[in-house]
Amino acid sequence: MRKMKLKKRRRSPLTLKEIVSGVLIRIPLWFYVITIIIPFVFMAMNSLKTNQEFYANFWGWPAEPQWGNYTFGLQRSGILDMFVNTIFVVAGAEIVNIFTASMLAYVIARGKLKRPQLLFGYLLVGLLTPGIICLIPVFFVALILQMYDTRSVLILVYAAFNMAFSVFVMVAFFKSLPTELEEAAVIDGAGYSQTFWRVMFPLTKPGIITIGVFGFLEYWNDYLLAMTLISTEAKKTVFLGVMKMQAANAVRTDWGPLMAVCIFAMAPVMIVYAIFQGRLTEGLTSGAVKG
Amino acid sequence: MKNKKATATVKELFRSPEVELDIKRNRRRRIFFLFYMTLPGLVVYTIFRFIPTVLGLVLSFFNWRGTSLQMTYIGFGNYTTLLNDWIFWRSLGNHLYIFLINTVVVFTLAILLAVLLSSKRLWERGFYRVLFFFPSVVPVVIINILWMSVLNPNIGLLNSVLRMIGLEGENWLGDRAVVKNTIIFVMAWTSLGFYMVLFMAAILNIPSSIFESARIDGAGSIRQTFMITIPLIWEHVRMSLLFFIVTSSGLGFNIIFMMSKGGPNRASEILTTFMYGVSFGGESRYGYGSAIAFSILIITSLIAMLIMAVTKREVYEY
Repeated sequence: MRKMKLKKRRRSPLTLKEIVSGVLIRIPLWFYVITIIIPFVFMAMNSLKTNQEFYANFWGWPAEPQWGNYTFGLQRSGILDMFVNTIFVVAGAEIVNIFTASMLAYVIARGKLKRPQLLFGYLLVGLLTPGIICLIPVFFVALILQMYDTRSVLILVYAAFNMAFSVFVMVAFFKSLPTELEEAAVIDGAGYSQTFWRVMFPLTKPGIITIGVFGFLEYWNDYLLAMTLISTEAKKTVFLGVMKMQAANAVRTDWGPLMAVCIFAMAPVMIVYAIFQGRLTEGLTSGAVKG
Repeated sequence: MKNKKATATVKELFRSPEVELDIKRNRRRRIFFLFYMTLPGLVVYTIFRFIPTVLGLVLSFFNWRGTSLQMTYIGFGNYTTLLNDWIFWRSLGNHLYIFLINTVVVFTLAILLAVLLSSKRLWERGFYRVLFFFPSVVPVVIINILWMSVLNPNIGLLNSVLRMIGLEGENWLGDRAVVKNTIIFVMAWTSLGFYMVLFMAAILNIPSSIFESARIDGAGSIRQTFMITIPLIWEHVRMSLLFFIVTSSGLGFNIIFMMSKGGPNRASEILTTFMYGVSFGGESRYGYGSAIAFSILIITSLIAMLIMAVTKREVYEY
């Protein structure tokens, strides 16, 4: 009897109860979905409107797409130069952070130190204190080193703020590699350096991509450190430019170009997210599940 | 006994001068290797992250104004000024209000939505995972501009919708009574999806045999959620809480600094925006700002300890 019942249930794909519970489950989920999608849709739509249309017809599609908003916004505000600055700073911070963090992580994971947990604890300070309390001291250090208002200080600060997280991720990756690899390298006559650079470092590519993507999002999206450490117009990063445009907007509104510039400044993040989102969520969740 | 003798003989056997030299050389190589591997990372981290953390406390005992490096030691002067500053007390109150409520809102919603997300019949789960994670990678500057245009009292989307269904809109960022809740909403919107995805993964990792045996014992889905799912992911939740408390003080600053600037009349001022305003907002009182920064560290640690103590439960293994 029971078996038959089960079979019957399986054959009919959806009962009324299942449909109702399916809908009920999706209502709160779709509420969040809508609050995420709608603002971005409106941003994209309004980036193609003239100012008059923005006020008169905030809701509708743009009557005539103003592609000129994009060229106008980019040319007038000097955003393009700032975009180049951002690329330079982000690339520099990535290189510094990835190399120094994986070297440090390798020593912690495999260096056969007597007390690796001391180094670990030292780095933990950077993970458990909010970065924002370092704002004034970092400014002070930059002044002392006479590096205030340079792009290189921004590179070093980004790399340092992300160091603890990157090292922790990389230590986990190095520990997951089998020790036989190193032994084989040593038997083949490789020294310490060769073992690391030729064998171990290339093998941690997934770890490098993980810390690289998290680092990219962190550096690209930052404006607070850039705002604190950079004052010359020619050295500013892209979001400082966006903020300046937005502040100017309070005086003389120019919504279309502002929205266009926003989309332009956000594009790299969206591209990186589109390519790496699987690795982002999975890397994060596998780490969480492992504890 | 025997072993000791054996090792001694082996050592003696190999103690030729060449081998000695080799061991020495090898040790030197190893030390050199360890140094050049750790030094760059440690130097960068120490100068730009570790020293600043400690230096903040030192700077808070000085009177330092302006970008020249001249400063005078004033002991606890900054702290007495701080305790007599009404803005400090108001921003402390706002800080506690915003962060405690935000934490409760984000984690309650994240757990509940994660339970819904891990429901078996949800075939479009991948879509939700991609979309819900997205707000946490969007640049904060963009988040602010987005929500400021949505919440604009005159042309904003939200008030237009409310007017259409016959309700009176609010001045979401300009009204002293609602501004804090608006900020909490935007903060929760930003960080909710991240934790939801995290908890969803933890729930999906629970062996389904546990749920099956619960079903056989007659537990409904609500009972399963509260008796099995939540207790089993509780340790993940607590670890995420710690992470959230540390990172959300930065997020709170970013959102308030751009959206309401602490206003109107300091109604949404929190300690971080207060610190920034005092030091970089034109007054250049960096010593005073450092005292506020130190109070932020204390408050954040207290919140973390409080929440960790309140959420302590027995740990279940599976």
